[in-house]
Amino acid sequence: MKFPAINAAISLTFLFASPVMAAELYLKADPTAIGIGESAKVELFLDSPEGVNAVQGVVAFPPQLKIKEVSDGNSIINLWVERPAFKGQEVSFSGISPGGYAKEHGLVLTIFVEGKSVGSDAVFLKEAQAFLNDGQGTPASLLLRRATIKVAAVSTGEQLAEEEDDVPPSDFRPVIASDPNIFDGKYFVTFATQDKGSGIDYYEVAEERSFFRPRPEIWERAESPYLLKDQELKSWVLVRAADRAGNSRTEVLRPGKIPAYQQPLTIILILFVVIVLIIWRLRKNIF
Amino acid sequence: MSNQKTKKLLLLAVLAFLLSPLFVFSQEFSSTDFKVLDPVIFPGGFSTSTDFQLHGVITQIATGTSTDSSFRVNSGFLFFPFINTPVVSATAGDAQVSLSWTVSVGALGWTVSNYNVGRSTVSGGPYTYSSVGSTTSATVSGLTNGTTYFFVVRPEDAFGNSIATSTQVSATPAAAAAPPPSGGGGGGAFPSTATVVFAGRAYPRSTVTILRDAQVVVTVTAGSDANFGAQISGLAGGQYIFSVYAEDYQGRRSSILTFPVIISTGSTTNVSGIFLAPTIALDKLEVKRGDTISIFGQSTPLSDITIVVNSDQEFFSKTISDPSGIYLYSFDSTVLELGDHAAKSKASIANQLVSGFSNIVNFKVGTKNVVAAPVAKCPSKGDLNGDCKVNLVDFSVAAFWWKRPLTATAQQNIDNKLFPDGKIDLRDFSILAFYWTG
Repeated sequence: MKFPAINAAISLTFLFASPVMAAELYLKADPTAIGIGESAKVELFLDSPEGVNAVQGVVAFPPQLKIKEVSDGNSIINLWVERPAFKGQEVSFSGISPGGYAKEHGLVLTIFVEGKSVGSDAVFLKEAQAFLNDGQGTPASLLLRRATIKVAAVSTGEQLAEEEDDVPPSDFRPVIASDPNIFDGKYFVTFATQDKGSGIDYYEVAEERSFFRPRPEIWERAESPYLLKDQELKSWVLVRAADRAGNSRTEVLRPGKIPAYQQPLTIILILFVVIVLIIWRLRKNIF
Repeated sequence: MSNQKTKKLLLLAVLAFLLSPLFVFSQEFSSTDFKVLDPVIFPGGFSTSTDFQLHGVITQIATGTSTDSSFRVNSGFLFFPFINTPVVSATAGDAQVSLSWTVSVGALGWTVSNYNVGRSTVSGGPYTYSSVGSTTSATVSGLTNGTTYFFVVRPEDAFGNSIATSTQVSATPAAAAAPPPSGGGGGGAFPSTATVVFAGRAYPRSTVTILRDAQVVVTVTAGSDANFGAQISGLAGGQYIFSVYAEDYQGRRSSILTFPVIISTGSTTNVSGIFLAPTIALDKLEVKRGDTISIFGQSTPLSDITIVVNSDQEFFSKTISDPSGIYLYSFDSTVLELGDHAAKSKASIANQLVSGFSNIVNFKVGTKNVVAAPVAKCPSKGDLNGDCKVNLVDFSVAAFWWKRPLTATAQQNIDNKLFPDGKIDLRDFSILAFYWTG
């Protein structure tokens, strides 16, 4: 050994070196080799020894791959500031996990792609940002790891396993609110939920004035916050969350401002009293 | 000296400089008239005051020694290093149990390098330990269905020393339920949903709120011993982020404790070892240097409370909560420089369970005393609509201004309550997420 002192110094250094506490955003492809027209998925994971509560970025794909679908199914991100969506060869996303995520292998999103042309190139992250869950908005030091998918002219025989999803999105509680800082102080409904399978596809909102719970035929695609049409709050408000497998969950909000005499319970009570009075009168007449 | 030798020495010097490790010295501790510097390394001579002198190295000789009328040194490193104990969840499967736990965060010398999973068929052990590496999940297989197993998780430092032990969690593996017969009616229902059972410690008779994926799902009241339990049923299989916080006897909220749990369809997952950090408050916004400032709050009854005053130099103090979980410590500000300071606290029970840190409270050391306002029940940031909550409505209000130019009013009412930089970006949402109450 030529430099025993140097070797010893290096060994000691690594033995006592302080660990680097950095979050890592990494991409994982499955399968890593496909044929033209075959499918693969690319998952984005977060490893975060410190708590990270906000993350955003853009996943860029090479021209050999065509983006088919983006899913937030089973994501550690609870609220999307910008729901994952693709435009051309890029998928952008931005979201938060209140309380922070401090663990490894946290799935952020899944992107389904198809082989378009022969080649092998990297799928990579850009403009990525993450913030620590410290209440100060401190940027987390971030390591980025890319993935590669090889597209061959012929089938590689590797198939993307199909995942069944027959479970609707999680139950949720839409909230009607108003705030002078948005929509000129008008009432809006806000909502968010997760889907543990295929991911949320879209939300719909329906408003209808009726005595009993309505079964609306007209739904409007909506993003939260949604400005209510009925600013008198006399309508039932229904919010439907649908996942990518076609399962849906509908949450219902009763009309917010119905006069007491129009409330179902009040009407039932009045009817009960009337019936009791009629029976009492009839019995009195008979006996 | 030959030229080659000089080169070797130069190379050695450069390497030693570049690769030299960052040593973390043990924390100094001090009182109004005494100071002990880096007691791990330095011998006596550094530790003197006008009426006290400490000779020799401070080591773990005996506790409660080295006292006089105005000063006392407890030998050993009583307040450091420390590590919070993990929250552990256990999900039973067919002849196996899946375990998942939160990261144990060490400070002042302790870094977790490995975790051991202990298992036993007897509550309380003895446990048989297996090393699982630097990961926060493991599956224990080869178990007998119908037998209840008890598990603990023990973080280890770089030298293989066990530095904490989690609360025990149990699970009973069972054979996978058979699918319902096709075409036939009746029969038992195939369990298509999962249940999560929570157990932990908050504050005596406090209100404990549990959030599932950022939305409030259940609120329970802790017992007089601060223990609480809750159950959430009807969940689909998948990954959930659960969060827990509590309000103490004066309505102060704890910091939020968050842990991801992976749930299998049809199973029951037990989550144990939830230990909420103490609440914390101050009696003064500004303290006249030399006067005392009271640091108080609530934790579990009779727990050891470590108070950390963050300054250029950190000061550690220790007190014990009373039978109602309330603690009070009068901190002498003489040792602090003029300027801004912050304090936080954490709790431990019998040196076994250790909570995370509380919220941080800020104060100033100046030339006068300014009494703090009564208990601030509302989050100091993120509450955009002033309802003392940080929830979906506040998120929506902030999201409305995402990538939009702020008006002067929006800047004042929204941006200034988050990260005041004239725009709403992810940094603002990070602050909102920290103060989240659901």
